[in-house]
Amino acid sequence: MKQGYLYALVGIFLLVVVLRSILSYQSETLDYSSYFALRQIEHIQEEFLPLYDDPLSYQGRVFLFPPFFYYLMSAFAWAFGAIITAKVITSVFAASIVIIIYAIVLSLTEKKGVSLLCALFAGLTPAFFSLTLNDLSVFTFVIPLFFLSIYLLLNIRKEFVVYYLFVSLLILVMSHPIIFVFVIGQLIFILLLKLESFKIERLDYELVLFMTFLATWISFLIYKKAFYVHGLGIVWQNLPAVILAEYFKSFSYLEAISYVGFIPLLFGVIGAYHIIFRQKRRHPLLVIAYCISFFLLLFFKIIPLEVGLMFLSLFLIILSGHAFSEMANYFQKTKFAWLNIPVFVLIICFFLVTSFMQGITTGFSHVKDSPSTGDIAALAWLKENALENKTVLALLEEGFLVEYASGLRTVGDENYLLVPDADVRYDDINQLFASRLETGALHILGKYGVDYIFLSERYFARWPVPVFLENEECFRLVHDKEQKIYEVRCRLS
Amino acid sequence: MRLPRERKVQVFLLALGLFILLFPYLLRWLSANFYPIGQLAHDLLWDVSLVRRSFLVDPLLDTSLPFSMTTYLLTGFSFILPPLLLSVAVPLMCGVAAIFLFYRILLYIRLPRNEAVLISLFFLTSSGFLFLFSSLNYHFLVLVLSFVSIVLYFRSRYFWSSLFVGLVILEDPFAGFLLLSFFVFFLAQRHNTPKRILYRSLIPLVVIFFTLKLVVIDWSRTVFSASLALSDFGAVYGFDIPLLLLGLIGIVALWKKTQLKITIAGIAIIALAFVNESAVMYSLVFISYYAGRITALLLKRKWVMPVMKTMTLLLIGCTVLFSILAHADRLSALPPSKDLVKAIRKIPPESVMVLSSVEYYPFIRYYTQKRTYQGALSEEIFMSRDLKTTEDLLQTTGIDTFFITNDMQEGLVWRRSGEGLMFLLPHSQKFVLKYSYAPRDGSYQIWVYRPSFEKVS
Repeated sequence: MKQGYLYALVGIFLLVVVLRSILSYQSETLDYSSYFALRQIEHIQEEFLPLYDDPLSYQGRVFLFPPFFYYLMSAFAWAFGAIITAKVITSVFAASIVIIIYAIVLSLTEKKGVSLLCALFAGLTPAFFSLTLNDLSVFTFVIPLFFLSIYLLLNIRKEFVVYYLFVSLLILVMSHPIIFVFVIGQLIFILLLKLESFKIERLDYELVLFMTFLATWISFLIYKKAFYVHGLGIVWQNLPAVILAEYFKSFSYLEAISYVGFIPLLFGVIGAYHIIFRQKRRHPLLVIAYCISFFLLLFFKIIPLEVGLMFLSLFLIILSGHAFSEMANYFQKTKFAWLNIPVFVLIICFFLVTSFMQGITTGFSHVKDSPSTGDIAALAWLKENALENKTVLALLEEGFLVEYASGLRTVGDENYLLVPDADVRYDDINQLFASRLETGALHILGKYGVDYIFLSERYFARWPVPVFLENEECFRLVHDKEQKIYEVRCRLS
Repeated sequence: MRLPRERKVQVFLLALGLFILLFPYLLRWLSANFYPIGQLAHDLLWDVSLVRRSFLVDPLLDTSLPFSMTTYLLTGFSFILPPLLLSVAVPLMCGVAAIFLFYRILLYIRLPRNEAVLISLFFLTSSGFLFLFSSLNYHFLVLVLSFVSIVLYFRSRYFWSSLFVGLVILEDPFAGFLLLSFFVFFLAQRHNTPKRILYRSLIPLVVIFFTLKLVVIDWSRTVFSASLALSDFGAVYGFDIPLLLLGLIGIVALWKKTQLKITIAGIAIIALAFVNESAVMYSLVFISYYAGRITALLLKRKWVMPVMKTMTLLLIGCTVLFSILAHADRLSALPPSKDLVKAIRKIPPESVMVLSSVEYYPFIRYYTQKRTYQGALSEEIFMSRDLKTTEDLLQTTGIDTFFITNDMQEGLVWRRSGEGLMFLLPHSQKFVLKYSYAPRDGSYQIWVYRPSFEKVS
């Protein structure tokens, strides 16, 4: 029986890996943001160092980021190749959330069946499943690592676990600044313990102190310059004000609920209610504390909405585990013990019909939203035919792709940290594509020294060719397929 | 000869303090930059040069020289020290005195020696201490005088203590108000006879009456902003995040072990430091106090996991050390650079009034003795693209020279290229480019306005 649960767990893990890999391979290319990681991987393979001083992005800028994830991916890329690393290895990392959530729920509920159910939900939850699909994203690694650290925290009194926790926190802090959420979550946890009249153990304080200074020191090492330049604004990563203002507009409440999943949301809330008001237990309060911390971060727009939803959906699944456990105990005590299995089967079916199908459809459209092979080919053509040190103007979300595929400089991309005129560039690019007057367009193009304008299939799916490009004397069409590349031949005197 | 333990501790603190204070200069001198650090230093050196020549009015600003003991102290030393040494040696001596006095004060309030050493260490590794005593500014003397007054009080020299309090009030009324509040709040209760309390309350009541107006003015000296108070976020004079973090942790952790009045005073001073520069130095004292005490507690305490204790204390040390080194590096890179001074010295001798960013005015005044425009029309002139309007403004203000740097074109004054005056200068023959210099770290231009230019038809 014991082994049955283990096989089932391995089966769910493999199912998630296979599903993710199959869906990833529906597109030959990767998500737009993956091309930043690809450039880092290539640079590490050549120079053994990440590309911090980039001559291409924003026509020359400095990147600041923790490098561990890119070193790890470059090691895998050296063994398996970049594309397999991006599509399969990241799927393996992402699927490891299944095992970790199983372990967490098991340590909270001590019920293997419930833990297995939560593991299934965690592997297939729409937010995490679809938003990290086909993406060489640091979150495929950081999110499982984050939850692994929580699991180690829950079991810290066991022998040697503290050393594993040190290592996992060290890796986490060298991978992403999300470590600060860990600290905030711990502080909220201590506050909740005080409110619920639990005894606060010395270890809790010691952990908070340790994590606070670990996060502070590593962040200083990596982001020192950004602290000076942006001050407190570093928390919002120098995002243009327009983007920040429209933060929540891209998602409706219904859409957000569908990403989190109706079942995890419902039972997660029930579980939270039960923990806070009915059965006060120490360890589940830790999960609630982290839920609260992510809510606060989303409220203050400190983390992107997608990232917040990913974490929240997984925390709600853990809390659902508590609700399922209590439900199962309740049924056992009543005459309706036989309802246990049918009810859970119903829950699984409902989850599969709603969240799983949602995850598959959203994941599929997310994969299809990747750049086309035609875009890559067009940029490769540009690489062959354009001189070095030329500047390309494209949509900001295509910036990383242009830098990777063409090897040319870009006016902008989606990393705004340490970019002094991010607001201005964002406005200029939007203004340019909406411009009807050639003079205005040439003024902006001349300001950034743009040599080529790249209009991808993604661009044409939303907008027509800008009117000012009709002047063939000033804008020569050098590549004309589903994508268009224009060479800028005029400058305002 | 073996030194007693107490002496060893003091020598260690003084030596460490000296090293920390000289470190920015070491970095600066390694890059062959031998100019004093920062705008304030140059402002003070300019005032010193005026006082030496017995000027009562600043001829470049047409304002009377403010009374400042710092200026007079520096003037006294200026007869034996050249300007660069003056800007280094005087704050350094005050810094050494401050370390010594601060440590003595901690022993006077009967703190255990190890706590006193830790508190002193945090104090002298703070970025605020580094700024105060590594370059010329208006605050370093105030802090030393404050410490002297407190030490004298503990040695029961009340008259001399009151005298130094008076000196602090003269030099910085708001700081004096804070110092007096400290005396009344904490120390008057040591002597709890009603007459003495009343007697000691009269002096502060009189001073409070006169300084309240100044408090209202000083309150708006700085706008609340973390960037203006936290050195890691960009402030040149502020407190650093690791120290602030430790201090706040100390306040919370030692809440029950510290007298309530000390906690309230500490929190009030720290909050005040975000809106008033004078409060920053006193808040550093409180933050260092709490940081030192909590660190001593962490050292003494038996941790559940000893390995976590070692790592946490190591991290605290690394974070504080990193913060101070980063701040020293930043201070060493403060203007003026060699290239900036070289460019400023190219301002034509016949120039009457120079327009530039206010950041450069102390250097322009000091190195060229030229008048600088600081009126309300600067913004309008910078943004004007119309020649007629600009000429009218220039004739009203008397500006005939423009000192332009790349920083000004990249956000300090203008956000876009060709904006305002930067469009007009190269496109009108009434403005002549007298000097252009583009070294590695920037670019500098000097434009001169020639109103008598007539276009040849």
